[in-house]
Amino acid sequence: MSSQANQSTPTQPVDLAGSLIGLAKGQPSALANPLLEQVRARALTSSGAANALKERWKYTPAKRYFQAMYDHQQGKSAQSQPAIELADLPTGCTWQALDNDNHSATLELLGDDNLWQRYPLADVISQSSNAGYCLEINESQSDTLTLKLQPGLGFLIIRLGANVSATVSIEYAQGSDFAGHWIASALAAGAQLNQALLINSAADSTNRWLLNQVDLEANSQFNGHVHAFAESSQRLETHLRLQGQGAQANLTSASITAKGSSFDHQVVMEHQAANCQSQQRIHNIADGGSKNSFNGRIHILPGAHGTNAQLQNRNLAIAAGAEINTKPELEIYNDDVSCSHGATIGQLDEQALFYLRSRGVPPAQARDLLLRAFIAQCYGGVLAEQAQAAADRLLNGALRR
Amino acid sequence: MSALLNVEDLHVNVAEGKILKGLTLAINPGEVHAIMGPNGSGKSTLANLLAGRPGYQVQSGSVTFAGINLLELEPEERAHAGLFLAFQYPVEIPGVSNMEFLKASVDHTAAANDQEPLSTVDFMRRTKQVAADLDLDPEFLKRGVNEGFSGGEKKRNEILQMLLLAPKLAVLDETDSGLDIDALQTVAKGVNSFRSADNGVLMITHYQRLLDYIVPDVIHVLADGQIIRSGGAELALELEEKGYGWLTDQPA
Repeated sequence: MSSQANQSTPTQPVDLAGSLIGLAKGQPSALANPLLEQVRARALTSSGAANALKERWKYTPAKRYFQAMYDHQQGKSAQSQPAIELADLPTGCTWQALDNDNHSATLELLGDDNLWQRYPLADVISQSSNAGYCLEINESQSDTLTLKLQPGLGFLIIRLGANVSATVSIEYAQGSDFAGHWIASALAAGAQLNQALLINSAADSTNRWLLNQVDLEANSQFNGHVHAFAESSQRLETHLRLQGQGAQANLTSASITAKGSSFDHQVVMEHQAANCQSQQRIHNIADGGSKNSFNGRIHILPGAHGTNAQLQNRNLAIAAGAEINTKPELEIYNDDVSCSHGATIGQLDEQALFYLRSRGVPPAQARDLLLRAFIAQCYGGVLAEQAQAAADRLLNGALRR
Repeated sequence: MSALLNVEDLHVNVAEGKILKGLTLAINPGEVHAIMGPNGSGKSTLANLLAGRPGYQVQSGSVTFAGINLLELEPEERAHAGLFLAFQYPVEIPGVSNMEFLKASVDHTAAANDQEPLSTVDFMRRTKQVAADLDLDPEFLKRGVNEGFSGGEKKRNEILQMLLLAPKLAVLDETDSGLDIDALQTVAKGVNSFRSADNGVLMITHYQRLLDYIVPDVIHVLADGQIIRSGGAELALELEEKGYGWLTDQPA
């Protein structure tokens, strides 16, 4: 393990609940922020959630995030661009705008009464934005549906009908200082969703927070590919719930953080039903002066017999002052499971570097080849090419030695 | 005729202590030399030192390769000058395809020698031909470098690289270890096809078996950091019969 790499001791843990309580006790500027008030209330009233919240927000500066979100909310009425870009609506799909002031209607669409308890802070995402949509896909799609999320988007629900398969690619549009989005995908029995996500942020771009929630019914399949190349502050929460028997979730995630940036990826893989499978492969690179954090929890509930769940996380710290935090977790409540998880933190393999050099490849090119190889192992889906281009932008730019 | 490789009175340390203690060796173009010796005698140290692996400190002595001071060169410069080491334990590099790696290797070496790089088509054709000669499935070229290769496949992949780079001197570090008899013959065929009047081979091995297939011009016995005996091919048979104790128990 490298001396630069930091597995368990972050520079400054954020005491979210504490700081929020502190805010409520009398800092005038904070008190003037009703959003923070609301977050505080959520944090305190969610039963037992405060500790979990603190854990999940250990590596993202929560206070700054919520302040930015509030500022954004104040300015939201000034926005004129559409909250989401979707080219022509394909056959077999319907598109519905959600009334963001009417939460109960949204909850009804999701069919989930406990939503706010599970995501006490994410609730504020939808309220900080002025638009929500529901995309229903009722026929299998051969072409990729490309979605560009504008800062104004709060809520997006994607529902796949039984045995429907679709491929969705999601990218961020640029603009604004902060944006939070919530994407909730619901897969009916036998459905298949291939979802590729590209978080490609330039140094001056928006800080983002995305909650990506996927619910899987029986024998449905989710193939998710995350590509994050950050030069700003990015947070992603991936919450996969295997609710029906025989469901399957595969997740690959590739990320690079450049100097001055951070990426915080929180994954929960929740096995609720029997005979489900999940695979996760997460590769992260942190350059000097950046912070790359991963928390991956596999949660296997009592009824989830015959579960097969694997998680592999590998991290490279490539310069002095790189910070990597990783915490793979297993929480298992029955005996009939096959489950493994592992995490490594290291530097570029000296043996591999020497091998390449002994074959005539100069050190800078050898290093470049190894970095590209490490991250390319987690490219996938329809955005693989764009992901490579985005990674190249960093590898040829900020990370060039 | 000037020697291709000239090692003179070489003393080398590693972190654990002194390994080479006055090694002298000269290889002329067109010659195949074999170095044999018991475990810990310094065979692999010599191979790694020649290739420029970090961690080896030269205390005294000199290594001249094709008329230049090899010890001043970086590992990639040694490769460009025509030195090749077939590794005892080739490294697995997942994510870098074998073909991509080979192309980078050949292109950088050509560029360093002011040669035009092979076109991609010519390179692919040549690589596939050499792979076929070594009984390597063309699929191996698409896979990650040595990723999931068996021991024998890794060693054949080393010989493939040697044939593509066409070095002046190939150092084979226990290339026979982990090979079954069929793979051993394939590797030997590759090495024999490489032999010419212009280049040299230095084979490091534990066993006489390899020398049945690649017949050396000179055999050296390395023990405790020094060459204690040199001779022709018959020396290997004598060693096989009597063991290293025959030489190491009495001063040379």
